Amino acid sequence: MALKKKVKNLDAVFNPSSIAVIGASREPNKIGHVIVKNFVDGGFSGNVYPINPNAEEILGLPAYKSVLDVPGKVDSAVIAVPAKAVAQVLDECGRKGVRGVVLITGGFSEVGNTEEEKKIAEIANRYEIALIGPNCMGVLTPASRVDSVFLPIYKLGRPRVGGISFISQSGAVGGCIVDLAARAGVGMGKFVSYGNAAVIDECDLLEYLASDRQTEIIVVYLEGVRDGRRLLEVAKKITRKKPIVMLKAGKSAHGAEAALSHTGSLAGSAEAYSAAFRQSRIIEAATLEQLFDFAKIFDQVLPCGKRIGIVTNGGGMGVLAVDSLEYEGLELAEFSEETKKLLRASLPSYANVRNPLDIIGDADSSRYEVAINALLRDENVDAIVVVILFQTAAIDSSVVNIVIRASDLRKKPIIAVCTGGEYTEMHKRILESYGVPSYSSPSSAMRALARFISYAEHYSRYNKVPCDAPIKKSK
Amino acid sequence: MGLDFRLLSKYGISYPASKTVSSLEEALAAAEKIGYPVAMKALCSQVLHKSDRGGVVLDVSSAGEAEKAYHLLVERYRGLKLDGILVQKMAGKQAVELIVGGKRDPQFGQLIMLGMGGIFVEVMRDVAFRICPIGEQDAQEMIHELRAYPILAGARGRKPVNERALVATLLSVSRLLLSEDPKEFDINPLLADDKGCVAVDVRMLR
Repeated sequence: MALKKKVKNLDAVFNPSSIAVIGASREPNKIGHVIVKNFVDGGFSGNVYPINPNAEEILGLPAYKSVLDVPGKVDSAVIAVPAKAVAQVLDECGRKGVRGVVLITGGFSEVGNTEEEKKIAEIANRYEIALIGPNCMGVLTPASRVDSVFLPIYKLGRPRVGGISFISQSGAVGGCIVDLAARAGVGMGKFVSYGNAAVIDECDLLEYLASDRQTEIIVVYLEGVRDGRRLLEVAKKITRKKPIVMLKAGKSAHGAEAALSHTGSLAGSAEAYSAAFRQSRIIEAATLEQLFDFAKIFDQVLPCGKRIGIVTNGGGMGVLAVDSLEYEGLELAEFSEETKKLLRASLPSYANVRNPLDIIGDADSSRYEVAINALLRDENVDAIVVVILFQTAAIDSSVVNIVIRASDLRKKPIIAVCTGGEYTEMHKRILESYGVPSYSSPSSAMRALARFISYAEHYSRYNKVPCDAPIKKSK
Repeated sequence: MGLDFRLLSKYGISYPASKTVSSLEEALAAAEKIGYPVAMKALCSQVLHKSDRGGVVLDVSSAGEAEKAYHLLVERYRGLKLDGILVQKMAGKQAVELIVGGKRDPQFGQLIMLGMGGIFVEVMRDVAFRICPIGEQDAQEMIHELRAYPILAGARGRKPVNERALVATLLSVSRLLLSEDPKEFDINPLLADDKGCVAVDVRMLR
């Protein structure tokens, strides 16, 4: 896919070698201060130039009156000056050769000031600047320590480096999700809150991330789209190569329109969006929690089918897992004779060697190892769900190593279900940060697994890859 | 109404032999020509759904019954402006009632819908949507998405519906929607059986 110049210039936004913070401030509670501080404290390796006409120095860095006064090259700029001053500083950026701009400032089309927003867009387009915003919360690239999110690091956690990139129209929702992802140990490639989308819109970002090597999975939080058809076409192409998980907010808004036909009364905006999602193979999330529940499973190897093997140290959790499995249209695997024989020989005599495999409440991590290895070898099992009740006396932290080691073999998708309080959550986070998708309930695990399996069918059809391969990194 | 049926033939969507009449004599002649049994339907732009006013008489199988049905319809629509009576060949009894429709969506353009039809379609809401144009695979997925798909596939000893004909009909409707760009569009019911699909009633709002 050949990218437009302004979309290509997003490289400067996400991976700049130098950055100017226009509207940098000495006052700690100002946005223009937090941004400079985040770049400095975050360990950004490129040059940071605070721009402020009234300051000599900000956070130990020399300040400049205008971006035009900066001696070296400026790749990218974050702008946080009042709305009426934006046009001038943006034009200066253009003259300086800045390729990417994050325009934090609000007070444009979102409050009816469309004239000024048009003017801004014209300036950006004239210089082919990739402009994010206005009225946005900034971008994050954890790998290169780019952090123009204006919320302090001690208040909003920053996620570890990973393959999930996240596009959010809303800054507030985006911020919450980034914070949650950081806490849950989910890795992130890029985050962008794109606000009013005056220049760069959701389709541009999708196209950019589709060709971005670091991005393996694209997650989108959407409130409205300007051009539904373009979204459909762009997404249809991308999902053949990379999964897109999307949450559309405000789907219920247009349902009230009076209709004269049966179809008219049944077809609201929600139905149109869901239809577009299905057609373009976008994985639709219904809630914020589902966005990352779904996204994080996609870096597993592709499952060859929908026959699931369940290992648990609690019978009840196994039953719940089977209920959810059936609800999601998945199948309970029938273990091979060889597996049964092997399990009978290794597990205590009172264990029943049936799926769901209950290795009993007195199971320690070695029993998990036996069970998981047996299921990894069994050709009747396409994916493994490991339920661990960390509350039992016999279980200890070493079970985490067993699961991670099995997952690292990358033979079959392995996901974990850990339901419980602080002790459980701690282990769940460790599993997560080592790339084992981990869920708080059997239902959320099965829901995500079902999405993954149906996407895998679509992906293999287009890419003719064997099913136990991972989703390829794009070139 | 007659106009909407002519539109269907332009896109290769089949419908039962039918004629719009405005007198008893014409009705009897039309029924004779089409062949009994027929269905008789009151055409009236002031009524949204015919069944709400008893505007459909099915299984009319003789001239005597046709005369009775004619007077019944005129009586039920007293006080309204009747545009005519539609005399239509009665379709097979084993057919499944489906609905195929369309709507112009402000974000995505023409939306196509397939669902279980009849008068309770809004209550059952067993429907599937796609954005036009659709391809063969989309059409197949729409059919399989219906909760009532087992009925189409031949539940309880029924002959399965001719899926290829249904796919072809959906593709034709998708073409119709894109070129006519109606505000709203209904074929309800579309009767489907093992032989094919026929559009028994159609409504288009520009």
